[in-house]
Amino acid sequence: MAAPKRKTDIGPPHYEQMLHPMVKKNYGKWKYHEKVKPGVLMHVSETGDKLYTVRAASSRLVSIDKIRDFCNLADKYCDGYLRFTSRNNVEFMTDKEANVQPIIDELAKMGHPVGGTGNSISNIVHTQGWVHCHSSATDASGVVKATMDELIDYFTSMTLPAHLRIAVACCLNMCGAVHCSDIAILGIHRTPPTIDNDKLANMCEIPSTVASCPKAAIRPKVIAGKKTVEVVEDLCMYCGNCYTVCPAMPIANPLNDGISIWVGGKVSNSRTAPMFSKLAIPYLPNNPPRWPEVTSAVKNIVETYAKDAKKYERVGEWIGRIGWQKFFEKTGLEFTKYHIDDYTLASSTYNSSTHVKF
Amino acid sequence: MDRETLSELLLARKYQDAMDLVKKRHGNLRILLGLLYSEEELVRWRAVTLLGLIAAEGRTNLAPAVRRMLWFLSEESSTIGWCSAQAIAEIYRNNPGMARDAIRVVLHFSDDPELSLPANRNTPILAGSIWAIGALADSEPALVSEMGPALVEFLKDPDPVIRGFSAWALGRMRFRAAEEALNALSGDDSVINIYEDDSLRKVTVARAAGDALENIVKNSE
Amino acid sequence: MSDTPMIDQLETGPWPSFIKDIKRMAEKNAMCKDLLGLLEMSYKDKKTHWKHGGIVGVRGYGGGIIGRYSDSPEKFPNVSHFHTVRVNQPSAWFYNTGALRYLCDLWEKHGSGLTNLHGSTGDFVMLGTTTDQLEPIFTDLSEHGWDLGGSGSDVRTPSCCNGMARCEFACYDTMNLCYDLTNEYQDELHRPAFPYKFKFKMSGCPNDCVASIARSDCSIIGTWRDDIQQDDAAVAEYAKGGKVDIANDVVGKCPTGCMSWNGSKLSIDNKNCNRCMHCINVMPKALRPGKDKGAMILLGAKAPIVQGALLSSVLVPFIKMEPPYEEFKDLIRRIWEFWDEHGENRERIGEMIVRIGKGNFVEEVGLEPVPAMIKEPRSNPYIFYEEYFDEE
Repeated sequence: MAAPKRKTDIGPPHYEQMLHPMVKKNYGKWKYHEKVKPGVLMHVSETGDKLYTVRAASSRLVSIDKIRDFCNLADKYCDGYLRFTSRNNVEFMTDKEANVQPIIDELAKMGHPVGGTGNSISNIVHTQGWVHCHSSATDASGVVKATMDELIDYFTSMTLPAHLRIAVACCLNMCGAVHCSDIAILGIHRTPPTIDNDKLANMCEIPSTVASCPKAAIRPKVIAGKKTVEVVEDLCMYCGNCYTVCPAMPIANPLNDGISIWVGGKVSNSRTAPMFSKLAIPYLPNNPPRWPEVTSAVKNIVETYAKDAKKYERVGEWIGRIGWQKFFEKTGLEFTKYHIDDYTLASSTYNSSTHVKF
Repeated sequence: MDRETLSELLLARKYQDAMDLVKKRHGNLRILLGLLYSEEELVRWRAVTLLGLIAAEGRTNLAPAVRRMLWFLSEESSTIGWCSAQAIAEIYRNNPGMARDAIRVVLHFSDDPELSLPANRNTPILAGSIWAIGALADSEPALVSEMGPALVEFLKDPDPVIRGFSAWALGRMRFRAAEEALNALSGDDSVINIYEDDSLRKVTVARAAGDALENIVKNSE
Repeated sequence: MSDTPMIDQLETGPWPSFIKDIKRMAEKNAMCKDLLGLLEMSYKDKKTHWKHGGIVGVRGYGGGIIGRYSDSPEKFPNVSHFHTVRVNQPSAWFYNTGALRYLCDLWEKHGSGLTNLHGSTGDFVMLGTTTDQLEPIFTDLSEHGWDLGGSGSDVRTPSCCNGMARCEFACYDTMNLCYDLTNEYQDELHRPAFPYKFKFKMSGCPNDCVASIARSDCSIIGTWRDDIQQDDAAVAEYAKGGKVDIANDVVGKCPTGCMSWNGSKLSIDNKNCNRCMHCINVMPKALRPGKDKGAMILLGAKAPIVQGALLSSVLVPFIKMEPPYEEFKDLIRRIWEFWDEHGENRERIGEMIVRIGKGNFVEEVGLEPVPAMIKEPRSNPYIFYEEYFDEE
């Protein structure tokens, strides 16, 4: 049965057709920009042209009807052009300053606050969670909604010492790569996988399954004449990588899955080099629909930072200056043995100096 | 080397030239693996055959490629290895050491209820697994015999490709218990393509079942 | 009483509610209605109800579709199949409304009407359809000039910052490079044949707004080699009336101490500047990246699974980035060939480099080792000497 020929490998549409005429005209000619007010940017070109951008919150998971609402707004004020940011905000660009306030007003009516520029908390990048993922230890969209409801005033203002980036990932796979965020909210499993010995050999290639374990905790085994594997539970660190490779080793456990909080990462090279986020809270319970333990923990860290950090200091730079001892002291967070690294190269995280604050 | 050059060599059955090209540079093996997704059916199958020939020659270790192709059959990889099953079977047939554990997983696609139920399954992947059973029938009778009953069930499948491939595979296995179900297909005039002796053969399901019966009978005489 | 009392609680509050959006679609789409039910069940059980298993795709492509099946098809039959379609986004997520409306109309006809704008890698993500809709969706998309993105062990959909389109910091044309590479690597993007995924991300300057250094196997970050462009009149403007405290907030924060301020003149020792962007970020009107612009190539970032998280590290400290980008593509070809041959299954390139040693990798891809590639030289004496003398 001959299938009809169709076009393949054409790639995405060319970006030029997606650019507002003023953006196209001034492509590569921008001279400087100003943050007019929270959520509003003005880019000035060498040609003297001025482009206004209004940045608004979005839930990332949006319906086509909502996208059409955005389109209507863009048709009305932005000559039919709009864009989305790397943090899933939506942006409306116009060459008319007079359009800025009406755009803000209409977005407010639609329930989309304007902000996320400069020294603010921008949108939380996140993963699929229970909405669409099979390995999630928690939901993502719900955690984001609950957290941003709490932190909304930091989105709509620019009063923090520096910008603050939060990310949510619903398991250690970290599709959102949260590992370099000022504050990372990470779904975790805390128990070893269970093994379906009857099905394993027919569903999974045993050498790949054994090799998937970063701790060499999985070993081949024969049970009642059937090839399968066993997990040395003392070695297991619940990363779930075996489940990724072998569906006969599910790891989800509603009683024990939860959330951990990490702080002090960044990706920008501004002042200090990019850095990873480090553990602040090893476990908080999964408590849908509003995760109060998580939102109050995040708020506590944000407020402590806002009060104590110097201008331009990101969370990681602030902690770098005051030291981790003071971080735990000022935030009131409990320091436990879980905070002390025991993975590869852990010794590089020990304090091998007499630098201690009393 | 590019996709087109290699496709043309395969279509012209210039396997030796194609093999020399693939072995010239490691990156070329990747291009061959890429042809397993070709929209042209014959190119896909010939790529399977060429992998088998490379395995038989034995100088290029295809075990890493087998692992990669098996991973493409896992939902977690978000890749769909349209011809992974056939390729792994052909490599195993020519050089079992290169695909020893992978082959079980490939064959058992056909009796995994999760994957073979019409509601969940991917027909081309299932068909590939059934083809793999047929391809290994001669050299590995013990390995494939336990799949017989599952294939007999597939003779009643709503999809003609599944019925036809199952009939073909059962014939190659000379699976006697399939006789009655194969007879029941004598009026099945849906047309399918079967790849055998590096050619695609257009046959009706009835014809595939008839050939299978002939194989089974010949064997029992 | 509502069937979904738990998730209903996410409809209130100032932040846009994804539940409201799903409910809006649920009025006309049965998939969305069942999705609400399934999600409510997850909120109650504290557990996902999506299964591991099931692979789907479109003819001729090995990636671009993520198969998804629920574990409760009897209770919620309309989301028993709920596959994702990744549509390759235009560079830097700029759209005209006609293009967006087309995608919406297509998705209304063939799927749930729910999307992610955008997925973590950058695609326009269509969330939730059935297997039989996949071929019609793809045919329609390609007739209208759209294509699928990557998934699995292939080149993932490249993504970039808004670069020269709306940023004065851009040191090369990120959007053009993104478009160019996406088209150059169509075969690698659609037909997975790599050991594992490979991501490109492009940022126009070291501020790295797309987080390329943390999230991509190959990070291409704009930089410059000559002096920061300085407008003294504009510096004075910032200083006037204390708009910016130049001594503390600019000079005082400079990580290399390469700047000084005598109350009226800002001096920069450009030879010692490490291009961190801080001063430029604080005074964009007065300071700009230099004129000899290009990019730095860094390799190897990834999330923790399996051997721990990695940031990208410097491979090429400076390269001119202008079409047709031949020098860069030639380097990528050598990198892929080496990874393809030596990478283990599911081993990202960053992990492979750690395993075999960056020094060896650099040599294998035909580059000279330079100090910019490392933070510091080794402190251990376990050197694998490759040359030594034999007694005659």
